Amino acid sequence: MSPSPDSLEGILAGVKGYLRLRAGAMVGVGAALVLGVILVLAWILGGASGWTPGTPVPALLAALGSGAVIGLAVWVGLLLRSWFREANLTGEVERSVRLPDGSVQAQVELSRSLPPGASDALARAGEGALLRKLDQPPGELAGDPGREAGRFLRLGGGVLGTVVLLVAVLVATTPDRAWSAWAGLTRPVALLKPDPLPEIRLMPGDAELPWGETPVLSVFAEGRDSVTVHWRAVGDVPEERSVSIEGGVGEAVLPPLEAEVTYWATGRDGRSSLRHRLVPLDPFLLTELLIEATFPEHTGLPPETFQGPPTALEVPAGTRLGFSGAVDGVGETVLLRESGGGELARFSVEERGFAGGWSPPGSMRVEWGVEGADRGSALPSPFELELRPDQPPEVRLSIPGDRSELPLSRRLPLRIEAADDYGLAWIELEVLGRSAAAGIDEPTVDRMSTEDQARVVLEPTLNLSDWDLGPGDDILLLARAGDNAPETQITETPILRIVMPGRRAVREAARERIQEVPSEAAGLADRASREASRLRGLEREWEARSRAGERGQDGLREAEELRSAVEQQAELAQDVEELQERLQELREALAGGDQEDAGLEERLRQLEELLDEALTPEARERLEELLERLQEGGELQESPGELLGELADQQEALRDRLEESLQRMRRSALEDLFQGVEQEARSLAESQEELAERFRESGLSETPGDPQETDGELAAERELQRELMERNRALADQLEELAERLREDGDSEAGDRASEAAEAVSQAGESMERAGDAGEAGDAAEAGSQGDQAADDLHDAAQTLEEAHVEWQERWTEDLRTALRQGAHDALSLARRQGEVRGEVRGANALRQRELQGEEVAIRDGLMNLGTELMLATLEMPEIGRGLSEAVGEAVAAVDRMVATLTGREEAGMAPDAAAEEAQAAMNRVALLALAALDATGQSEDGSSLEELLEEMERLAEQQEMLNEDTSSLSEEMDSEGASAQLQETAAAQQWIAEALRELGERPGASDHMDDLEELAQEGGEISRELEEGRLDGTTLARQESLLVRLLAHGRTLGMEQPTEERVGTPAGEVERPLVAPLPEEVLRGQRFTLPSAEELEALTPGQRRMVLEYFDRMNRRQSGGGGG
Amino acid sequence: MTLSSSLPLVFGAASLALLGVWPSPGSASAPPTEAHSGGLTATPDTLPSTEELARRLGPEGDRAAGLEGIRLHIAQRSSEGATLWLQLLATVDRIDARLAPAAVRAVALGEEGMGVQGAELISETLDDADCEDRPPLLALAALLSEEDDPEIAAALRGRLLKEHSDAFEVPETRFRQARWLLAQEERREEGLDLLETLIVEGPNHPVAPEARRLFQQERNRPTPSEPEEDPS
Repeated sequence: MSPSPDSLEGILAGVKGYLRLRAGAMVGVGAALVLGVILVLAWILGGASGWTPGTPVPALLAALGSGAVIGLAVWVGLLLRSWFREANLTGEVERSVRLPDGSVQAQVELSRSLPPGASDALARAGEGALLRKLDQPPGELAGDPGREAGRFLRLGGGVLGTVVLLVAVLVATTPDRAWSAWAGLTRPVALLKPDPLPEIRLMPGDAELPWGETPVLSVFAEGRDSVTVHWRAVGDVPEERSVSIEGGVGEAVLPPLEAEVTYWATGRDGRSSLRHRLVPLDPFLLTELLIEATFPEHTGLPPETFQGPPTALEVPAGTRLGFSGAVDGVGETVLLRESGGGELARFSVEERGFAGGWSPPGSMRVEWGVEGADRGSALPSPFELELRPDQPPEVRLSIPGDRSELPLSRRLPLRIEAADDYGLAWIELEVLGRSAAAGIDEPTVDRMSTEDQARVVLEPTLNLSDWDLGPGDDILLLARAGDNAPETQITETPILRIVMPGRRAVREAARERIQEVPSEAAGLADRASREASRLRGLEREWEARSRAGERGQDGLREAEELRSAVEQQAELAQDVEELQERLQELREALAGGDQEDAGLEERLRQLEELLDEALTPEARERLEELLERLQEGGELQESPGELLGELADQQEALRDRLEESLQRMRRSALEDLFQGVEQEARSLAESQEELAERFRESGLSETPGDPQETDGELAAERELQRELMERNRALADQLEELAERLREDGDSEAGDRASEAAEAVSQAGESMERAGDAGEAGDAAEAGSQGDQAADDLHDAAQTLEEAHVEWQERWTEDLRTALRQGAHDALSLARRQGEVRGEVRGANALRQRELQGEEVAIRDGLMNLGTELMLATLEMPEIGRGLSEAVGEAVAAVDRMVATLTGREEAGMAPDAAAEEAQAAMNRVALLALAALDATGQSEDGSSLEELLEEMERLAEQQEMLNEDTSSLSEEMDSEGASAQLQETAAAQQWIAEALRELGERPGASDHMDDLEELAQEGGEISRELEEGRLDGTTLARQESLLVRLLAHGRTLGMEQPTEERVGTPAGEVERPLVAPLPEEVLRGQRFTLPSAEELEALTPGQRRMVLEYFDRMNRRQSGGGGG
Repeated sequence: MTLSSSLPLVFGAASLALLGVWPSPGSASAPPTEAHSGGLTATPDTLPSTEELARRLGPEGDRAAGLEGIRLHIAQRSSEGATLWLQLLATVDRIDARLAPAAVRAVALGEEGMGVQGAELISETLDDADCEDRPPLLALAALLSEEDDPEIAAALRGRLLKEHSDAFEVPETRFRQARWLLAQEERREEGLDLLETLIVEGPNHPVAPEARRLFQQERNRPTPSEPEEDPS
């Protein structure tokens, strides 16, 4: 019966209950905490691969956890017991409600038994009063134990929360590892047990061995250090022997085999092996058997020997087998027989021994036999003889990059891989050219010995640069390989077909290259400039070291720097040459083409020449010499400083020459772009016209009521239309680029015309689209009409471009001529001023001489302005520019001398009058050079006379053609009346043509063609004589025809020479320059060309501005003395 | 014929001719006795006469031969005379063939000290000349007459500046005209204006430094109306 809650006992019981609950919670929290910690420890200790069998850790963790929980429970129990002691409990209650010590204890005792004489009522009253004071929840009365329990629970709860969170994280991040680790905790005992060891194996297992042979057993027992081998012969007692195991393997030797033996092995772990049987066999009749295989020579294999009877033999075909051995018993001949077949070989036995050879003809099963042997004698088992046949070689021919087109260089890299089982004797490459013009060439075969290599990889480069191949021609290639067998086996590859790029592709590549050359040359110039700066720095450094007396102290470094400098220069020179070579390749690929190709060829040639000029032969030779000397480690005659200076000079010279050529290259690129788009517009227009015609023809052939058929016919046209639209789009893009570049170049007018052409091309594109749509809809007539419209637009574009091109060229020439004319005039203007000064200098007093000095300085400044003016005008004609620049430099030097004479300086070395004369002559020379250049750039008289010549030739060709027709008609009517008179008239006409030809050859301007024209005239004269003599047969007619053909051909040749309307960029060729000594350094030094003003620069286009700034940069570099150009 | 093939020939002729107009120091005044041009050797006796030159350069003549003849004359002359003949060469390049004979004759007269007559000869052709032919002719006439009759020269220059303000000859003509004006006190301002125009319109022209120098010199020069300050 539980005490009443209204009694003191009841209150104490309530407090106890409260404390019990708290204690229980403490145990619970503690246990959970321990579990959490154990889980975390298990995760850590279990590792990523989980528990390994035999580990005690899970068991320890489980024990640790259990122990901790039990310990906690015991501790809590003891604590509870302490708390529940009555004195402690009542004391805690008294302290909780601040009652006097012992008041509760006393009342409890009174409630149990009243002492004698005590008043019961009084006791109850006291209890009642006490109960009223204790009317609080048990937790409030629990005092310190209650608080301690609360603290434990709070702290424990906090830690538990952390552990639970950690466990959750572990589960979330590494679930497999967590579950594997914790699963181990559920079976700690099972994990204590390690994995069973692997089974024990014995070799040779069940076997038959010759009688009396000592069996040697191999024991495989991993994880053990020893095992026991047991054996028992039939009719004998079991025996055993301990065998030590090392590395899992041991060996046991049994007694000689005289009866069937059963054997097995056991380990200490209780496992045992399978039981095996060894059966003794009767001894073979043949003993000491030896087979020696001698392989065919071409295999390169060394002889091989087999001991004892084989079970199988695999040898190359052609192998010879040598047999030797002894007959252990009676026997006369040892035989080899094919299984189920006849005898293969026989070897006679002499003194028990036998020997002999046999070359097996093929694969077979071979049995042994002995003639004259005792019945029942044991023979070795038959053996399988396998002859490996010699395999044919393998060969593969490939082209890196799997290209199907021949590179423009006509150098084709190839890869030939060949292999053979025993060795290759040779590899050969067969090349066959197939030309549209010349048909199929004889194949060219190139064979190479491969010296019995089993595998060969060749990477030759096929050089077809000398082959007469044209665009579209193809090359057939195949490779063969032969092996080194006595009867050579040959394998050949499938034929590879390589096509020469089409003319269009070559042209595109050429045009692309022409556009790239300026930027590549600019890059090379930039590199040369950087290298020159670096070398100058090194030179200064060397000089500084030299002055400081450190010369030669760091010889190794100097040598290395020199080597590096020379190599850099050689690399740069090589890059220039490579660029030239690439241009040359394209030029060669274009050879033999039409006039368009000839134009491209010429442009490429000009670019090559410009690059060739950049690197003079002397510079090349010097570079080669230096390279050679440095590579051979020879002594250099020059000091490192001198050499560095020389190399820097060379780099600067290269840079200057490249920069000088840049503007020409850019113009050439622009010129080419112009021509390219013009030609493409024409070609596109022609293609579009043809397509429009095809559309219309398709429409005419349409079968009424059969739209399907029409659709099929139009498919090709539609596809072609799509192709033309693609080309049209590309053309429009090119035109936009051209317009932009022309504007950049400062010719906005030409740029606008190019945009106009682009607009026309764009309209053509729309018409093409409509034509395509109409084609899709099967409306051939509409497609044809729209196609015509597109062609018209394209013709318009081509016409606009042609006009713009001519105007652009004319503007350029006219600008140049104007500048030269002005330059000449200005030079004369200064010369006149100089003449006036000269007139005054005679007899001038000191004051006037000082004034004249000022005038001379002004003339000198004027000359500088003139130099700038002329150089700007001739940026694209550096040959002219250089000559004029030198002349202006001479004039400046002459004026300086004049100034020196006026100031009375000694170095002048001449009278003022003479100096003035010299200065004026120098200015005259500038004017004369400018006028000469003007003549050179003018409308060539030769050009016009050539044109006239061409016209005359055409007229004469027409007359010859008519005459040929007349003569031909006459030849059919020779018997008719009046034929003779007509023949005489024909002869006169032929003579007239001959005379006209001769006269043409004698005209001024035709001197280059005089011989050819004279030859034609002679031929004409001879034909005329034949006709006069009345001879008119097939020969005469053929001669007339031939004359006509030659006339036409000659006319075409002249046409090629004539300056065309769309004048190909005609930069000047080599110029004979006057023999003028180079300007002295002191004259050049200090003459700095000032840049044009900002306003002037602003007035220029960006392209022009860049050109001007580059020009001044070059001029000033020369002025500063670093220039080498 | 392309430029590349024609250029060496032209330069070859020019450069040989230059040997004759490049006096060595100290021999400036000694005229050479032989001239080389285009492989030909010319002596004063074989030089084409003025009339021959006029014929060659005329409408019916061989212009190339005429130009070569002028080059031979240039090669024969001292630097001063060569400048005048070079001016003729530059002029005939720019004018119609029918005007060239007058220019040749005028230069020959000028060389003989009859520059005014030469200028008159040219002036007579001006009415027949096309607009673009006039500036070089006016400039040549002005140069020929400048020494003997500055007034005529000034008039010719004035006409050139008035009628052909875009011609090449304008900067030099302005300079010379300005110099003439500055010499006359009452027209000094006009001269300064002309110089200023020249400098402003062509600051980098070869004549500009000379014009700038003259302008500064003249601007700093006290005019008669401004008496010089007494240094004391």
